[in-house]
Amino acid sequence: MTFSDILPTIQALPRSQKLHLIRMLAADIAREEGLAQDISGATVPIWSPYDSYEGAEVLMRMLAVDGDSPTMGGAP
Amino acid sequence: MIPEAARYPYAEIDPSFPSASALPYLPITLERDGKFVSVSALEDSGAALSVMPYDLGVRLGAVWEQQTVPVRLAGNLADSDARALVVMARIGQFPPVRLAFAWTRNKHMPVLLGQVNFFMEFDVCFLRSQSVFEIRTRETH
Repeated sequence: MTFSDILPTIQALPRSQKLHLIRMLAADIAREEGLAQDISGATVPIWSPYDSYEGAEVLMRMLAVDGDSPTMGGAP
Repeated sequence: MIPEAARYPYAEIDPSFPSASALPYLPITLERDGKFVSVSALEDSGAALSVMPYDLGVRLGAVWEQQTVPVRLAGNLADSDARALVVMARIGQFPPVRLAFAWTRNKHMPVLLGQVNFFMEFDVCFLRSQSVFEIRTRETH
């Protein structure tokens, strides 16, 4: 199997699995070259939705409406 | 009496790296439909919005199918569905406030307090060199 054989399959993967594949391959290479500590120690999940402005706008609209709405979760 | 400001220590997340892993985690009690849950939430000034992991919403009595407003998330959370959820939040002796969260299906993440609307309700001063942070409500200045 060649790289061009598997490339379409890789490109069809969901984003999260592509990232997982990148990390896995990087860890494999690092392990082979004795650099496992350097790369594994640098893998830190970053949860910040730092550019979710559309979602933030949705939340602001939620706060602006009546808290008794069923979609508001019962907050007063 | 409403305090002018409250000061909290940074939390050392990894005992192996006490200084490097120190983060501004804030003790906060969330309330929804008479259910109260106390958690430590990460003050994340880089987050556009606040995010709540799935399990916490369930503990607050929220039902996924009943929260009908979708919220799009970015970054590591882009693959997780999220829905808007508004709850009451109490921090220390400050008056309770309404906080809106993107309630995500993700179960393996901290509670994030982001710009909408935590940082719109509270002014925060990070004193990282002292490993403390201060918060005050917007009404007090």
